[in-house]
Amino acid sequence: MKGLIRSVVNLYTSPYASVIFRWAVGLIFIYASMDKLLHPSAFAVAVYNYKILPGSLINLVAITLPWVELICGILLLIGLFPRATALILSILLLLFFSALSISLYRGIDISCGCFAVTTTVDKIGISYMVRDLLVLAMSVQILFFDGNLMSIERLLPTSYR
Amino acid sequence: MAAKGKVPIFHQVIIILLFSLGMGLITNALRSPPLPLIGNWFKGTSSLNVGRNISTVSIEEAVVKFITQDALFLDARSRADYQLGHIKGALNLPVHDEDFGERLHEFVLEVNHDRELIVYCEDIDPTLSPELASILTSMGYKKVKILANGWSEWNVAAMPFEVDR
Repeated sequence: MKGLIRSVVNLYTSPYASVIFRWAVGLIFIYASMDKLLHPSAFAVAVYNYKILPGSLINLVAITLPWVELICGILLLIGLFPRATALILSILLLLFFSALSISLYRGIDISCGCFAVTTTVDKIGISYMVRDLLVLAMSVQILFFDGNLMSIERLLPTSYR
Repeated sequence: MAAKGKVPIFHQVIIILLFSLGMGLITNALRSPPLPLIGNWFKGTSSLNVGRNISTVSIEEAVVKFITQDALFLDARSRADYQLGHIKGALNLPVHDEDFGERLHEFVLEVNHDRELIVYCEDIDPTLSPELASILTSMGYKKVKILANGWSEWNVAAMPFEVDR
């Protein structure tokens, strides 16, 4: 049993795992940004429906957040600023987790607005929180164990890394 | 954890966030119509003054828009009130009903942002229209107007209505 745990820990902390996680999280966030970038108004409604943010901030979030997701996704894929990107995404994923928890606790029946905002059928549930935690686990791994493998940062002069 | 080189991790975070903010603001400004930067989503819940920047239409103007089909009528009252009778062809966006968020979401996906919208309610609760109009304006709808005391005025003018059974 101890051996198994050690293997899992070794696997999780491996810099090779970071490369796979970077690509996975990168693609997830690029995909997540697309529909929101194309339909900011629908995304604003999805944010409004959570009834968490003050009304004056909703539009700024709807305008900026999809770009944060897209840019972070691209940066992870190419391996530029991976740790800073993972830090931003980990904080975002924690905020998303909190928003989902609050909404489920309040018992409000709303669309997630996580990926597609042009549908009203993806109602939030526990599975969305589990999914969020899985992506968070990958993001945190990148933050702490990224080894700059397969990354564009390798091409930069050492002083800029 | 911190980068060893010239750009510390927190500076990188700030660069990424500022760049995203910049891209968001630029692309939004280029969008037609852009989303207002500062929304006014919740102002209506406690104040009668909400929507004071939103213009009203007279019943005469509303009748003309109805006949020419230039505007889409939106009923801000509850679903129950709407079903008892509403302006013919009006959509229901019951601003105080539980499923309002979902209906609003469906609405934004279906109705073009250039569409002229006339919001109405009833004098029993005159805050509903301004509240809905304020939300629609926050969503980027540019041509939102209020027909004050709309349902009663519509009936006085003996204009077509519908009842949902």
